[in-house]
Amino acid sequence: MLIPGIAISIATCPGVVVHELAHQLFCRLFKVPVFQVVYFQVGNPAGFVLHETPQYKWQSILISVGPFFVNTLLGALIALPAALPVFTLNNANFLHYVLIYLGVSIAMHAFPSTGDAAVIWKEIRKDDTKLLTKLVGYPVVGLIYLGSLGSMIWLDLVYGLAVAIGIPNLIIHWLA
Amino acid sequence: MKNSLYQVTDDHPGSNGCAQCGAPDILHGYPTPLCNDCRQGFIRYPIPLGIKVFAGAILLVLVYCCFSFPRDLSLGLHIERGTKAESEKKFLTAQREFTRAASSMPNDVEIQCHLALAAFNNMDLSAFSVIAEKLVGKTIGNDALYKKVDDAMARFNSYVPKDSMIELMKVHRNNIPDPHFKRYLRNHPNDIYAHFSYASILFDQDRFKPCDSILKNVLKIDAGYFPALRLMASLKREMHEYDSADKYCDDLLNINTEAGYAIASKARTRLKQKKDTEALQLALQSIQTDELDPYNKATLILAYHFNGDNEKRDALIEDCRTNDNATTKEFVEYATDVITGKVRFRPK
Repeated sequence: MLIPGIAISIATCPGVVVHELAHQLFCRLFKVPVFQVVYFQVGNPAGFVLHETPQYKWQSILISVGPFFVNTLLGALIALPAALPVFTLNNANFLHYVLIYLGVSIAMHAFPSTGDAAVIWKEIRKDDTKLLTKLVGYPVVGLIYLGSLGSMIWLDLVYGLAVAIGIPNLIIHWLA
Repeated sequence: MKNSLYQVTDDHPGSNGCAQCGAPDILHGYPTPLCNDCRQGFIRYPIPLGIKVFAGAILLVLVYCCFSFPRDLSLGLHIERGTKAESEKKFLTAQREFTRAASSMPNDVEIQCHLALAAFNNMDLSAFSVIAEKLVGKTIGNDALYKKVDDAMARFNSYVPKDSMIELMKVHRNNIPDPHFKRYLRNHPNDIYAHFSYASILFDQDRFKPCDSILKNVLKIDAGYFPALRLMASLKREMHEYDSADKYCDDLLNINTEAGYAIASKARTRLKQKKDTEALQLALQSIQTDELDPYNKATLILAYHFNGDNEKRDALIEDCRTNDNATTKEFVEYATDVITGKVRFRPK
């Protein structure tokens, strides 16, 4: 079933907001000026953060991939108390379903966008980029583009569900 | 949502002052020409109130749900452990875990189904019948689970006397004369309960051959009929067919790896074989598996006795007499009869 990306963005707007907020927070962490933030809009891109080019290239990479960590962690944390009642115990209430929706929405927007990949690409292609940064940067860009391609086959949703459902079940499995 | 701040690009040819406010004292070493105040302002780019409210709302919902999380986690752990134990045929553990889960969620049909299966495989028939009654008329979504419970319920009927058998017992006040019993068995060839009951009587009368024959027929009808397997192990031991006795114990353990009485039965077989050290190990293992089964306690008393550990033997006898119920006392009495020589367990 082909569903327009805009419709998915609208349905999962909390994830877009958290994604952009994560970019912004990483900029603040590295003291990089932010000139414009669009947390959510109906269009493409659904959100963006315009910031100054950081002094260090590793900062560029971290600002670009920051949402991956923040959205994954937050998505898992939000879904954690709700995943068991919804998927295992069958005793869920309305709030549990709200948390699952939020957790999946947030986690499925963990993947950096191709715009984020373009920023990293631009930085690591420069002559003065250190070898280590290139070694980290190129695979990251590759993975981001793979993730972007994968989103055509709902990889982002699969990832969101895996984080929201899989992590709580893994915790139970490990503790049992 | 766009902010109203001036948008600055990285490229500013010919710009002398701050790109935001025009102040001359810009901070050098950055791609964007900004004064200190403007740079700090952009670094601390404001997060709109709406976003803060959104984050706060998520946090509130999260906090609310976190209160129920420890209880849900504990419940999830009991279910996971119970399911794992069930798949490993550790039905004592499964029953213990699902009992705890059921105390938190008494109306959950799937938990009750798992609990019923565990109780049945532990031969806790009183618990099974209570749960089975609760499940009558309930819809079970899980087809595989439904089939298992349905099968257990069907098999349960052969663990209780049929109405015709109850009638016969009433008439003869629980002491059915041999010819009447035989006639009943001829007329009810598929009444497993009745055949097993008759085999038990034969066993108590030391009529081992006919007992063996009847039990084999019972096992032909239901190869997993627990009481028959259990009695077969004892029967073969009395007939000095020790390998065969062990084989029936293994059959029991294949159904339920935590069938402590099967391990205890093996221990008694070793005692018969005068392999006392191995017998003691098995007896201890049976207690470790199921410390509540009186058969296991009596077996350990016997194992201590034949290993010459009279102190532990007497302490255990005393403990059983003081703390346990009538059933345990009955089993312990058998063990003390063996100790005093009233009952001959094995040749001297």
